[in-house]
Amino acid sequence: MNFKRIQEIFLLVFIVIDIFLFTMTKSNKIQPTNTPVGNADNTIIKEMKHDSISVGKLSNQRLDGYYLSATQDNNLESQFSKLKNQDARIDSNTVVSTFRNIIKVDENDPHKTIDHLMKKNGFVLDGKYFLYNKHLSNKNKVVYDQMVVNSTVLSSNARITFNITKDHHLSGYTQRELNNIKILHEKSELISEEHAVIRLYQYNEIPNNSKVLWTKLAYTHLLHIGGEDVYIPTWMIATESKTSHKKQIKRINAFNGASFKTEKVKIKNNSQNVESENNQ
Amino acid sequence: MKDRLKRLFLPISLAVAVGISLVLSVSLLTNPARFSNNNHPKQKSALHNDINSRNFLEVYSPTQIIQTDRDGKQQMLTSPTTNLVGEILKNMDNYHFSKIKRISTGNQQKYLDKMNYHDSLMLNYNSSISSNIIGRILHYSGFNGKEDINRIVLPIDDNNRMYLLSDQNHTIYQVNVKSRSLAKIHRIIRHDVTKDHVEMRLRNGRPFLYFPGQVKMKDYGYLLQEQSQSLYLSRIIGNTTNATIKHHKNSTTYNSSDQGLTFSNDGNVIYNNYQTHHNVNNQEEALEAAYRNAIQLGVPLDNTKFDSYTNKDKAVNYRFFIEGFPLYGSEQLGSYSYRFINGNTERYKFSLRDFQIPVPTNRQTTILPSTRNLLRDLKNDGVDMSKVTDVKLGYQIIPDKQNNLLVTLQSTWFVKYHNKWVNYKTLSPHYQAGKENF
Repeated sequence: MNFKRIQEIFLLVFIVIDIFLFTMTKSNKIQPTNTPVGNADNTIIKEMKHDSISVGKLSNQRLDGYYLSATQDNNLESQFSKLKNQDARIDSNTVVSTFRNIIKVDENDPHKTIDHLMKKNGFVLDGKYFLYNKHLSNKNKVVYDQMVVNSTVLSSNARITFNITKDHHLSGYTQRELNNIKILHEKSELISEEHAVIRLYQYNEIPNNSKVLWTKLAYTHLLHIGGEDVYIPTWMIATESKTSHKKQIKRINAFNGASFKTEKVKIKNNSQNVESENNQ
Repeated sequence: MKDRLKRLFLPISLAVAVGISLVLSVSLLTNPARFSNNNHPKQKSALHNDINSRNFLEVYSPTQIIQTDRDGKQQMLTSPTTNLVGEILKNMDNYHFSKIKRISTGNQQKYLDKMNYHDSLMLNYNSSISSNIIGRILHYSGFNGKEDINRIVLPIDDNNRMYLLSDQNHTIYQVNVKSRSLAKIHRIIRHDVTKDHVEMRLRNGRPFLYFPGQVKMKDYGYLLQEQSQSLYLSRIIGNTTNATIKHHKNSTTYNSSDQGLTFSNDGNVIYNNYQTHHNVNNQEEALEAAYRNAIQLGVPLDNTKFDSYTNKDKAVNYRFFIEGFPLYGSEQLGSYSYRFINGNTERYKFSLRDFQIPVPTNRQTTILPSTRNLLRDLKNDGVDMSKVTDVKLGYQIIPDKQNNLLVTLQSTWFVKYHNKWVNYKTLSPHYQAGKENF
């Protein structure tokens, strides 16, 4: 065997070794961290797929949240002098207002016009503290939620709802607002979006053959005590049946992943009224 | 020329192939992902980075932060909106420790100096804790096997060292620190932080936290939740048909062949496990068992931290903490204890009730006298001061008159009298006039 032949054989062997080593480096890029937790969640996500539940891409990010207390602002009427171009009245702590001159809004995205107006003085009270909520808005109404601490409140007690006419005009709005907002407890880490959807599935609250339309992390009402309300961070999860197209919105306590039932229960039949959502 | 290239082609390709294989081999050997996680504490902790391991860290983390500024002035840092100790420990998660050594022992002055290290943060435990547990929390096995630790002093100047302090023999350990992020620490201690002037002193050779001025502390309201007895019965005894049940005036006891479970009418629970399958030999094992079994039993541990350990009976106590201050009550509410008795019995005490939801309170703050005034008044009121070994700020439980699931947690001084923590108002008639519902 001549020297050239030996060189050829060696070249072949080294090319094979290179290919082998290259595949080794590729396979080693798998992250070793968090595998057990990730695996458990991935298994459930797979189970959900098996039940024909589509979830889209869910985030694993964990944010922080607080227990908050607040009261219903029943003094909005005193600020009516600030409002321009409208007739406002109070109906059980709700501002009900009609615009005197019609306001034309963007036909496709009415909130674009309203976003701009919200920053102006005299349009609504405390407009800069409200944020557009696309999930609850439609052709006839545009909904804005009150912002608190590091998020928004999802409650009819903290909301401005604009009425849009068929010819794309703003006719008026209703407004309820929270004040006296206090942090009751140091911040805690919340469960992730993915974990919230998994918990809802584990509670059997996502029907088979349906899809998760959207999720939103917001403060919602937990209980009423001594004239004040307690709000907690909640994952709102909207699902829709793929066959009947029936939509539902469910709540998951973002502190501990417990589910909320919608009916209200009395904790104790005492003189002090403590009402709470049934938090399982 | 062409021929020459043709001749050189083979050796050049061979050299390139050998070169590639060398580069790939080196990159493979130096890639940390290739190695097993077992020898790497950081990665091991990441593997167990679920809710339980975070709770372990929270339960066994220090309770209090004292900042000493550049001029030596000391302030206790608290925050109603942020878990400061938790944030600092999260920041320390990225530290790399090396070269631990004992730099002093038995020297009270050096010990006091270190507790007053200028430009530092001192993280205090409520009582001494096994250094192995600190090793687990900070991911550095070099802490293992040292004396029990009471304090961690973290300089926030340009000193790349950290100190572990053990009150027992005034021992100071020094450890080198790399990868500190001082900017983040400064951000944590600036944002929404309440600062109370304090002085770290030695009293009869023991460290003593002295408040030179009045202290104003926030009140907290809570809605209690009561777990059902049946939950623990099914979890512990299982099928109650084989258990004997004894009803007493104030309690009910369920006994099976190897376990006993007693529920008092006030919600206190005592659980005896007479047949344990493992031995508890030291503090680390006791702390480990106390935590593991609390999780298994389903005892809620939110806001609960390690409070004390007694070597006799390997007794571990956990307590509810608010802003770093312990809660003391006459009942089991807000505490959990574990004992390993006679080498074969594990005894647990806890409450069916726990603090579930923080709620608004009518009263906002409570103002308490300075340490000096407190000690003076106790003395003037005829309290035997030789029996007073320590005083500390904490929270007491004030039940709501109308609703038994509502409580207010109000700050007060606690006095260690005859080796027991008692509310200062019960000791001193001077304060009796303002006595609330304790």
